[in-house]
Amino acid sequence: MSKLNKRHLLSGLYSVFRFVLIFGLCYLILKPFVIQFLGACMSVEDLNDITVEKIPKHFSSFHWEKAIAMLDIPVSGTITLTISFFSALIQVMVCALIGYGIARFEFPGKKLITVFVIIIMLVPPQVYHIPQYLQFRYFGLLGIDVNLIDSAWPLLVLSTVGLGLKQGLYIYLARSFFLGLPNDLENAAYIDGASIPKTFFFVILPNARTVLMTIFLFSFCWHWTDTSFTSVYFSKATTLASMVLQGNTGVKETLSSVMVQRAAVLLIVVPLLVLFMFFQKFLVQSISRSGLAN
Amino acid sequence: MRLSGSGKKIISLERRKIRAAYLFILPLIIGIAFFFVPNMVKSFWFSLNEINILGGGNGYSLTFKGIVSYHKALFEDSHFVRYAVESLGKIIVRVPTILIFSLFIASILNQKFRGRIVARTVFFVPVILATGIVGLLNSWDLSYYMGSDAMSDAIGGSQFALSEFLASLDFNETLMEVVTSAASGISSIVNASGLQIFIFLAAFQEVPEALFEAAYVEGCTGWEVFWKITFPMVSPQLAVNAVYTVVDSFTQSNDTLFTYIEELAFSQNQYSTAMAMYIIYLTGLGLIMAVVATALARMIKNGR
Repeated sequence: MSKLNKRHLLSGLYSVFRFVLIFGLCYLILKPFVIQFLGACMSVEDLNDITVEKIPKHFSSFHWEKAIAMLDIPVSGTITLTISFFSALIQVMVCALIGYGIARFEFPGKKLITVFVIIIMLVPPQVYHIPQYLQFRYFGLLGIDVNLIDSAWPLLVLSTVGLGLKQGLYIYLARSFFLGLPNDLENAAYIDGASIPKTFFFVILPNARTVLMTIFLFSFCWHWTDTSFTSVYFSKATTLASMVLQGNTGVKETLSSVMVQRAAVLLIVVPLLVLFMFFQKFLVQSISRSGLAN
Repeated sequence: MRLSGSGKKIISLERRKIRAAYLFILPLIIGIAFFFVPNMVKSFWFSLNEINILGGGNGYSLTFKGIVSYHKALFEDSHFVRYAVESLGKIIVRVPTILIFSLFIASILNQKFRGRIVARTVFFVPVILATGIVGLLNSWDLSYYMGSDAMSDAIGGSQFALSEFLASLDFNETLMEVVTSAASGISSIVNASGLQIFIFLAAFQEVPEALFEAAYVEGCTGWEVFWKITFPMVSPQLAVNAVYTVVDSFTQSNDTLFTYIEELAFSQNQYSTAMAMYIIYLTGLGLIMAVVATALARMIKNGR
């Protein structure tokens, strides 16, 4: 009985510890955002008032209105959504293929390919930015130089060949996941007479849902806020992030203008958090599923 | 009937498997052969040449200079070597810290408790914060916005309060410094651990719950369960996170070395030198990683 009590006490203490820790860390993460949010809620006179430090005296929607006007949400939102969704989709599919190929087969040159994946991950795109830009600027197609810059082609091509935004990471992630799958999964399918593609699509992929969702989520979010990749190869596409970066806030004062940009960034982030909420529901569901499957 | 043909079938399956493997990785092979390697070679070639931009949109001309840029980067530039060593030092400290921290947080976020959904969502914020416009806008603030930034303000304030508190307890001064610098480092560690936490968290989903239940029924303690079940299950993701942490810690938009090289390349027109610096630094980093990876692999092998 006393042992049971002790256990109870310990788990209670642990709960308190966990709460304090998580709460404290959440506070650390959110504090800058809350301050930015409050700053964006200030009226212009509050910004110039030295006595107003963090909490606005006069709440005003001025910066938010300007931010919404600047973002031009119907147009740039649609463009951003299209680019993010399709880039993420292509990246997920390509990474699943490549990751599976590297992880589950023995073939000559396997080690070399693995090393290349790590190198692709390691080398920042800035290193080969200019040659790559030139390659798309004068893209040799059947002996004719075609200008592919300012079209969706560079993004499409790079994502398809595994060199898209942060794609090295996703390939490596997929590979690590597939390495951990039990061999019985495929062997059983092969014995049943399933072909390799059939096994991949109907046995392996359904078991890889978590990792595929994770890659999709990361890829979508990073394309959504991206300023380095899309704006270089597809500068005509007015994405939400590029609208903030251009900073045509319509406000003359620097401080107020920065506040409009901050408000805009907060607005951009909201859909991603909503997306994450859905993803997180999926995380919980998959626990029970994998419990059943095994 | 099936058995008699099985020998032949296995051989052909092996061969088919090799062919399938190349088909699976074909996109990457194309990427490496037609994009990655040629462009890396070009960048390397740029580092060996002087680049003159011709006016009027006529492109550029190259003058071969040999290893001049490398010499310049290593011996004439007063910042590069120092920044590079600092950056490597930072990586060596950060990688283990971030890995342990993110594994720890992930295992807590994986537990059932009230408010878990909210907590997970908050911990996802640094992932979004890491790159793109959000990170960019935050790094601007550090440099010129109002002199003090919300983030450093928050940390600075708490750091001061902490050192006051410790002083009131008659803490040793060096010890005090260690504690306060660790405390101020927490925020940067948390913000650099976003992706890693979620990779671990996703990996935990693959551990069947029945396994935990069985372990607890057998009388394992939480500690044993962690080391015997959880840890081996997420160890492949450990490597991913380690490599990502290395990459992330020097490509952050506020990293000194990275900013310095970018500035050389695009503001000061010293593109070849910048390329040489990238190549020197990345080669060094790659070598260190290879040595560490080999050592770890050997340790694991001997451990078994």
